[in-house]
Amino acid sequence: MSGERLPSGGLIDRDRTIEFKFDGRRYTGHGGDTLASALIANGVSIVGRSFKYHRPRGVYTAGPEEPNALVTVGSGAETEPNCRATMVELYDGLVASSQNNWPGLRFDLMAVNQLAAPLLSAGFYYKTFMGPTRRAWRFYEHFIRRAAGMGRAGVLPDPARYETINAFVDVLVAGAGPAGLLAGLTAARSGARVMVVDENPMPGGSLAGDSLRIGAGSATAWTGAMASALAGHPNALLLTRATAYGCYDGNTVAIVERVADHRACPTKELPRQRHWIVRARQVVIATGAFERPAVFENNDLPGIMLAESVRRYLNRFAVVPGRKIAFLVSNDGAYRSVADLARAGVHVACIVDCRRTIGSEALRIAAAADCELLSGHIVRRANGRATLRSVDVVPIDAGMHRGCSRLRRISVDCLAVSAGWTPACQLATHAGEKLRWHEQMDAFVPADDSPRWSAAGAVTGLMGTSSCMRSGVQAAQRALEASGIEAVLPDAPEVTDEPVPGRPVPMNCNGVGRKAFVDLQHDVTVGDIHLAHREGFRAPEHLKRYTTLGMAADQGKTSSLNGLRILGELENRPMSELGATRFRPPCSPVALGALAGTARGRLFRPTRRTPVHEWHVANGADMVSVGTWLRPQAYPRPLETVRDAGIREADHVRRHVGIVDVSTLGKIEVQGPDSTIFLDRVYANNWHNVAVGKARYGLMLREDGIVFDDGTSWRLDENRYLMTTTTANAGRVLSHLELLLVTAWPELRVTLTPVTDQWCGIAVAGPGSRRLLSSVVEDVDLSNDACPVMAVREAQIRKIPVLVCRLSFSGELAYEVYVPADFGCRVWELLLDAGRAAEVVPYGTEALGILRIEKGHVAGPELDGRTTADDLGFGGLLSGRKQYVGSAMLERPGLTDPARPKLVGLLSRDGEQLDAGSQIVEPGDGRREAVSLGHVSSAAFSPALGRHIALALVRNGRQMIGERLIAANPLKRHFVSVKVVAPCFFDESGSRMRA
Amino acid sequence: MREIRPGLELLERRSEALVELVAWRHASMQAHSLLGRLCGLAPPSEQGRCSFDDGTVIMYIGPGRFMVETADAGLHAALRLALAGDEATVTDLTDSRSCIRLSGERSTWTLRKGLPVDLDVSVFGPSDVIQSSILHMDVIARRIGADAFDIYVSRSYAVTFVEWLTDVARDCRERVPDVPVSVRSP
Repeated sequence: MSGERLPSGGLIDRDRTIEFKFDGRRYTGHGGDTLASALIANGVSIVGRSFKYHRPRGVYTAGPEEPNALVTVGSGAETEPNCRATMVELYDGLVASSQNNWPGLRFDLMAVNQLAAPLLSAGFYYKTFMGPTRRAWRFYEHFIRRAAGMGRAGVLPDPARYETINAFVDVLVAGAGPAGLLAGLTAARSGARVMVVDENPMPGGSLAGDSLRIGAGSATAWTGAMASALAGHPNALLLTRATAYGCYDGNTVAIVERVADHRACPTKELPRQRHWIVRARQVVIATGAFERPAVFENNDLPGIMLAESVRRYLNRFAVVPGRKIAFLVSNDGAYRSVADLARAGVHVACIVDCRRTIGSEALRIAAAADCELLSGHIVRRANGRATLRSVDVVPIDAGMHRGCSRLRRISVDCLAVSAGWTPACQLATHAGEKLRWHEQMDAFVPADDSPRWSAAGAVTGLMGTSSCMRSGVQAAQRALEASGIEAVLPDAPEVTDEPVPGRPVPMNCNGVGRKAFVDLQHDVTVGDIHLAHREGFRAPEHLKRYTTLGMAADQGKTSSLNGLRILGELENRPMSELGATRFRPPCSPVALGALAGTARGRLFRPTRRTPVHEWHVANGADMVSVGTWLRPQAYPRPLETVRDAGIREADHVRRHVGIVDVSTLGKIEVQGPDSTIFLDRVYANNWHNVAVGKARYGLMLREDGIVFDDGTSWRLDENRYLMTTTTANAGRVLSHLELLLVTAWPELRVTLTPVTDQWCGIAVAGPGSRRLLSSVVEDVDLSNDACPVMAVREAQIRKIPVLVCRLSFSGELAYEVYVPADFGCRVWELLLDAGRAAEVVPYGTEALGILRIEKGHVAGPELDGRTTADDLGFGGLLSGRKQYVGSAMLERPGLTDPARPKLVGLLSRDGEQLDAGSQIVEPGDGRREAVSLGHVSSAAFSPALGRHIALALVRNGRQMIGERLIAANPLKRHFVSVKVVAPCFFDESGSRMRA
Repeated sequence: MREIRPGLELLERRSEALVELVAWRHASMQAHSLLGRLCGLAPPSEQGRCSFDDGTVIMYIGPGRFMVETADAGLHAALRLALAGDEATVTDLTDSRSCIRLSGERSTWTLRKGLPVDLDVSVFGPSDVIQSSILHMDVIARRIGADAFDIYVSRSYAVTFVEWLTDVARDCRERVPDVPVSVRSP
């Protein structure tokens, strides 16, 4: 192929010259060019190498269906592989490179794969690379993946910005061709809210740059007028460079808009791409049709291109892809390209038409173009090493027999092919509709319109511009009626006569050579389909999966139907009976960044901050993510590690007093006359006897008897409780309780209100906590008698109303103070000021963890969704006098097995640190094959004991107390000798807490 | 000279009191009338709507569930006293929510980037309110004008919410004032 730019014509901006690079070489193009058109204009014929055989490939189409010209655009962090050169708009400084070749595009060593083609047929890796051992595939896989494939994704973070946007419309029109534009304008003028989207930079579909005359002007002028009318209409939004890639439940259509991809220097204000989620009452599918390739030997040589694409390059970009052009056609539509080439002064060498009877308009065009017409002929083979040099043409009755005496070799550098048209019905099948066979079009089309969408234009099998326009208006009318909007119908414009494709004659592809490609992007040949059929893959879906036909990034836009036709002929079944495979979204590749939208980096997931967050940060806290919360892990001093700081803080709390921010605990206000009954049903222990002004520890089970969550609930008055949950489970507990109220016990008068954010929680712990708190709390006696363990008191701190509850997670004398969040930081600072003499320190989650492990208190690592109350030592808490969630399942054998893992404590015997997650094994079992008896759930260095300790879940654990075992961490090659002890390591009697 | 206005203005608004009232189904009429009497403002009769005067907004946010924002700091206590749990429950949420006001001609455009709600003024007009989520954060959105919204978000998410807003509003010539520090008196 030796393409060139014509001196005039096209829709490009010749005054603007654009410089770009392809494979390191500088080229120029013009404003309005695509990368593909600019490469053709510069005479670049090979743009990539094929997926499996590394055959040279050139530009094959002019649109989104491009199977060959996949390139990598950008460099460094902005690299994006597998971009279709036909869809990449040219901009100054664009850098693109070819893919899947080494060391270069012209000379690719991996092309040696072509010699091994007999070994690389469909499903070769299932058969060829299976032995000699079961693990051998892992060895081969590395080389196969390196040899095959497309572009490589960048490894640097994508610096581009993406965003998501929601839209709600009455009518969404997918496709802004003649049918789509008229459908959109009809709907907008009738008063509907309308959105029209098209993936091309300019609306008009096939009309853009077309020589057709519509009304009194050109097709381009008509398109411009329609687009202006739509863009200026207050009810309408016309979105170009926007691909509707999927249609989902409830008429939700997903669209990616390429906002800045075509800009040389995108501003920071604009995202690179915008992901539209459109909820439409009605959808009009006007997505057009793709021209179908012809299948013959070497049909992938650079220089072979779809006939309509040749026309588009000519009319839009003033580019001709060759100097000696021939056509291989099966329908009248391709003659439009011949006519336009002739009008532009480009000579067509010959037209090979597989039909014996050709329409009169097509014959007139062929005659006017002064080109040879070979009716009843086909191309048997294309010839050329790197690019097309000639084609072998035979009469169709000579079939595919080799050595045919009537074979004629024609020298060409471009072959334009058209074997018919395939409607782009992807969106319709996403919406769940089946396709039906359309005899006239020789293709599958969407079945009858559904109540939610209508189809219009070429996607329905209509191929004339005027008929497509009429169908656009009719589709809008149907959509408006379904939306209850009265339609205001426009006058249909007059369109000059044009040859329409008509019914194509199928080209017999069977019997052609090994390198006759059906799926150009996945290198699936006719031979592969024959092989799959011989091996029993005779259903379209099976064929697709075995050969990977239509499973490449182009989703089989140009290949599916040809593959099905070959299968139909092998099966001797009509296409209507054979059926089509189902398309699934996305029908065009979508960047992962577009799907993520703003949910990346610091906004990957929302972060929750406590009311004291700013203080923590300002005072040197090392913050850690706990679920969505940010919590202070510790407050390290200079040169101190977080671990050491945690140990120091824990030690300080045991000796003096400390305060910790516990605002992250889930809090739910449970109110109503039946709230006590409700708590009795959701907690496994009793609640009916909790007095007002008291709190109680509660254990919640799942329906299957496994521990779900724990926490305390405070009875604030007769019908009002403040329930606390673990930080991690707050949302789940609320959902669980709401579900129970709505479905299981709707008769209960109970309301649940999440109040986690209402309260700032501060735990004051340590021997000095009472003195500290008493110095700031007004009007409340905190003595042991007046405020015993689990007492709840309403109080004030400097006129700020607070709730004080005497409860302890650390095992020390401790209180939790709940402050309205607005005043949380102020009270925090007051406590630190007041406790200066008592050497109060803030402590973080590290110290919190150490203190609770020393006391054997369970937390998230123990409440892991597998443990029962008895496993954790809470068997005595379970009420035997009532039914509660989970009680019915407690007696099942799996939960009562005495050998279940039980919570125990572990003491490191030789001073070695214990790792959470270590497996517990018997000593002397041998470290490789030892049987796991359980695992370490939480581990810490205990400053109170001066040694490493851990909590563990060990099979038959309570009977193992006193035993010596090994805590094994094979990943770190760390094996520690441990002694099994009771889970409470410190102050077993609880005297410090009750002091 | 024509005044150049930013496409979007953000403002953190502090409320003196925010109270949630949930009425039992059988007593919703009594709770409704009591709420109206204590607020001096008729509550909306339709879910998803709100009623308001100079100092109070009553939002009907769910079945039997009202959110009242008011300048009357004593409303929570007054409602608790009056209701006594037989008709409804009352919860003080004054400290639990941050309210961010978006105004300007790009406010709807900006909000659409996260709020999966039809914000066309014919569908979601002034006096309309809805519970939804933005970037997994629960929000209550209230339209207060053609180009103005109040968004109530949990206070722990407020910083992330404003970070998200300023990220998606880059195309709006935003003006983000300093977020005022809480100055509520005890």
